[in-house]
Amino acid sequence: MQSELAGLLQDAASLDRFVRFLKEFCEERRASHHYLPSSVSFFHYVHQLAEKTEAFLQDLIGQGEAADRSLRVERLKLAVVKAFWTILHGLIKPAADAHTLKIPAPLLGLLEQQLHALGTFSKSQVVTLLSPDLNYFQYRTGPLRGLAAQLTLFVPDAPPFPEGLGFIAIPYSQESCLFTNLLLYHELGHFVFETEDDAARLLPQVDSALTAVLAAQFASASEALRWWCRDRLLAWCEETYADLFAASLIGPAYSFASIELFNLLALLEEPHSLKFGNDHPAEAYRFHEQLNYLTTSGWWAALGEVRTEHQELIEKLAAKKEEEYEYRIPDYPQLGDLLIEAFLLMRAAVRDLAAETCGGGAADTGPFIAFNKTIWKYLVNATVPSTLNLEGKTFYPPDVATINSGFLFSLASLGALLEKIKGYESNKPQVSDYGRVAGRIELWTMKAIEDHALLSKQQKSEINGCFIEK
Amino acid sequence: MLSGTEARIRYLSVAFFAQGVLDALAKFAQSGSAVGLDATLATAIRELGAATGTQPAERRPGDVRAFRNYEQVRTLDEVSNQAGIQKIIHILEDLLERRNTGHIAEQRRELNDAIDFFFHLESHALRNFDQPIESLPSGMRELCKAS
Repeated sequence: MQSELAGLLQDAASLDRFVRFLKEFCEERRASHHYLPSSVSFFHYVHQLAEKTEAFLQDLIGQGEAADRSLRVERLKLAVVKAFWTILHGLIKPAADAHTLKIPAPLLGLLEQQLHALGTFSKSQVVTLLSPDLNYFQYRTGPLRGLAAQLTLFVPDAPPFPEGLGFIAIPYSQESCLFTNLLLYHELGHFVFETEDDAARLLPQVDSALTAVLAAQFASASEALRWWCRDRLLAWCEETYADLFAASLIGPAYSFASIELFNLLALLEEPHSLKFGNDHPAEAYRFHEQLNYLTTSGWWAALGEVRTEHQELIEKLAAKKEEEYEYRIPDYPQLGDLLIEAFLLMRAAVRDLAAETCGGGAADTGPFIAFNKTIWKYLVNATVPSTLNLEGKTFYPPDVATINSGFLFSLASLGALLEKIKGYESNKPQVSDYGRVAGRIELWTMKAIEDHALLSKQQKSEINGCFIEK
Repeated sequence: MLSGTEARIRYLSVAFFAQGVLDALAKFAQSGSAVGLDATLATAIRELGAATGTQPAERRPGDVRAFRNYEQVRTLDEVSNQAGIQKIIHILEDLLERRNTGHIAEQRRELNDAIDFFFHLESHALRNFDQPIESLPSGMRELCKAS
């Protein structure tokens, strides 16, 4: 039978090979591709931790003789260190795939700029990951950072996890898109919620809501069951918060992007749109909250007379009655209803929290109202709308206005642009034509964002968020 | 949305917590070294107390907590019942009180019980980390009576 010491040696050797591979993989990718500074910070962390882990493994084996009982404990220690590396393993490859040629760099630049404007996030950085899933994810780094700190108990001098680093994954198929990638704002909302530990702030109110609805039964439930209920409400609150955060920072374009993705995933058909999941409120509820924000902030009215299918769908979903919401828990349908009832008591708290976070960072409707028509004129003439001539003056419209205008144009006026294409026959619509032209609008809008970043650095005067040149 | 990695990190937090306590207890059992033992035991008592509901639920900003969500509390429940956890809390309190008396031999049996408990907790958390499963808590029927 294999001795515990031989087993420990085998485990250590296996982990050593695993760690060395990941270190070399990062080095090789860094040498052959260009990455944003956030990714470089992450790869640097991996490198440092790999070196400390290798040294730790050598020391562990060097200590040699110990009682079998103690060796069992040491083997288990190796298992937790390996598990931590397993988590990093899941992040390294998608991060390495997301070099600067494979990501929407201008949008990510804008995203980070808006994040930095939110006071306490002035030094935060976001690592982009390319995911094989057709969905957007935010990886929680708070617990990872906590574990990295605890790792020093086992791996001497293990480096701290880089401060302010977040991880957001985008589907690899969407790497060059602009509009669907606006969903990154939602993921950024998760990052902010987590970093500010808003779950801790909401927990007392969640407990109050559950107690108000479940009464004495909640108080006498097991701790596991109480946490299960709390986790549902906290997850639903966080999703709603992330939606409101995104709508605040980027306006209705975020809601349009949600419609695009959810349609792709077929989540907007009834009865699905009314169903709560373990981690998500019903889509109908989410759009209700977004529409409420967009209406009170003036964005919905700012869209003017333009009516698109997306707007109609948002209004239709938002108008669903709360009684129609459903959270199915097999065998316990009443409990699902009770949890929704408790969650609805949290509505004001979540709205307040999002408003408090975004505050002055919320997108202003003014520039959109001022420049929307002009941006459309540029787009319909296949011109990048980064520099606008209006009433004898030159304007560089802010990115949020450009994005919302471009997205709205893409939804409402694609036909006007198609009509201008030589040889296009409106009575014989071609899917490929629509796709190609829609892609062009995204490209021009993205280029306008890129231009704006450069132009805004050159200009000194700024009026209401618009750079102006007389 | 949040990634599937999140649930795995939750289990891993439990494993890290157990390994930290296990490490301190094993060193104490082997060499009598009580370096860092006080703080570790105090944390373990507080965490287990919160998990069993004898201390209020809280999430303090920036803290890494072992039992602050369903997956973590369930992992603990799967390893031991409430009486078993209370017994471990008492053992840790006792160790904390008597660690400096030099009578390790008298505490050996209790110490080994605690080491076994945290060994099993860590092993189980790592198993859940490798193969996360979703399961509902018991007692839901009682909660439905609130309607």
